[in-house]
Amino acid sequence: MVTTQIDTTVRIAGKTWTNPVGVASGTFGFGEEYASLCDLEQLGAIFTKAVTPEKRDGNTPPRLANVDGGMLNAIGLANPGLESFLQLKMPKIESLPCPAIINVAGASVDDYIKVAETLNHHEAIWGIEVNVSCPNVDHGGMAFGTNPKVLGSLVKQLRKAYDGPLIVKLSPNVTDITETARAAEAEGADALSCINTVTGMKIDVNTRRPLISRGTAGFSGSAIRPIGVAAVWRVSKAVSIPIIGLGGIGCTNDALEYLLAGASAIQVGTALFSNPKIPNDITKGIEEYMQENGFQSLSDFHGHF
Amino acid sequence: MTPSQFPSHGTVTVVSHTTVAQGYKRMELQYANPVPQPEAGQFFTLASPLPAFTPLRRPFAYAETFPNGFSFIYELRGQVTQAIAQWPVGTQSDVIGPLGTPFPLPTEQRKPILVAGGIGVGPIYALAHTLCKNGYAPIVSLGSREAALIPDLDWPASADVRICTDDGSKGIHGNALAALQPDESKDAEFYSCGPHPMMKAVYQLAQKNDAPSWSSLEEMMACGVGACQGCAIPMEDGGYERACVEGPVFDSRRLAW
Repeated sequence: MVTTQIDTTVRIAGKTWTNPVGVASGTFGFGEEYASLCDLEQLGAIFTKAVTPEKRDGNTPPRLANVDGGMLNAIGLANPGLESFLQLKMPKIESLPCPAIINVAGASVDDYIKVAETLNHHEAIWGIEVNVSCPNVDHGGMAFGTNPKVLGSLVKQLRKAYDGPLIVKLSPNVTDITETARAAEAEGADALSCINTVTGMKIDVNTRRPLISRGTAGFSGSAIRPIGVAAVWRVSKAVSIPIIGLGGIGCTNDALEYLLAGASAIQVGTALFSNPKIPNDITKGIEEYMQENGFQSLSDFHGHF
Repeated sequence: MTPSQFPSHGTVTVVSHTTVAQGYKRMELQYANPVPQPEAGQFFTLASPLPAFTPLRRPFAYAETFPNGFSFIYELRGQVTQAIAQWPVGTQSDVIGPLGTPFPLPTEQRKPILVAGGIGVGPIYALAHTLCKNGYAPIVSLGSREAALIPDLDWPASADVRICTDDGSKGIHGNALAALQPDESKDAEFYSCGPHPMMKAVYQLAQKNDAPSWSSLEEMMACGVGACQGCAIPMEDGGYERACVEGPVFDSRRLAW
């Protein structure tokens, strides 16, 4: 068999990942938690838990529920806050063997700017992912990601505050995701993560209460994969910046669907909770698929269906 | 005791699987390779037997540990436990563990009193064995609705096991605290695992006697390793701690009851 020379490098704003398989924000902490369970060196990138200027305790439990084909979560951006993040988490991030992309969140434009400015030019940080799509907080979160004008304005200001790769994480909870995608691109986003969780709810008919204390929550897992693939496909036709696909990826074929739909990279999220080695398996699986099918680079995937 | 810092993820094989009470089973799992030894109070997560339908791993507390494996006791409660209940000897699955913070040994000179209700018997059984190996002679009070629900287990000889049933069908007629004499609570250290009202009552008894107490809590988990913040436990001084890392065993005085 002739071995094709394959290139799995992902390029965003002049920087690279060695392979296209990242792990999704909120599912992987700040990286250290999975050190003995997943080969971090083999990850394309780690998208950290969201960081807000102030410490957040998160929502009142219960925060999790099982649903068919996935799960609901309403964590509420629980995080130690910017100052503790810099003191306690940054030294660990500095020693990570793969790119660390900090998920940035806030309740106001100033919150986002504060975190982005603080992280600007920080050598240990590969880039930032702007969280404008969290469905589980009362202020900020998804409010910034569902209105193209509001999103465009936020991205414009973040672009001034942050010089490295700026990735905007889009919400699927909109009528037309290409509108928010275009707004982010027009104001200087370098890439788009597509998609965050889908708003969902589960009710216990015996207690007649929602299973999540907040009521609604973010729905993730394999059941949302068709929603994510469709979103990536539509967004890829609307913008020319790279797309990082996520939503229900649990195996190589799931990742390949996203790459074929137009993503340049992917993130594994909820599936980590089933098996933390899944990202490593998918990285290997994508390479094998490329070898078997004569693909030399990730861009070869686009338009192949 | 310090928790193991690095959980392992390995394949296990069912080597024994028996019914120990009505609706309760004991499963013994063996690793192919040596793994870190868990401590009483710690837990592991088991891969879902129905991954396409309900993908999250499920946490279970260790009940016994062996050189190359362990056992746990589970209650047939939902679709996952109903599915694993069908596993014959020889079934393979995978386990991540040990996870979480174990029970501490008693403060010097204090007599350990262990109180378990329902499925809380698993980690209390592990603790009883650990304490007896370390020269303690714990009182173990087991509470249950009725005799048929009390697991048939091989308690260590130096443990003073007392059975309580709500309907009086076995042992002492009453809840798990009915087995304790007032003078026994003095100079004791309390350990509990079971229904919330039971653990709260144990905590209050400990407070009344100015005694330390430890509660092992159950909360739904997603990652089980401290990453997702899903298993938040409310603390007395505000904020939350994670059942999977800071817990599942907490100093009862720190919890928001």
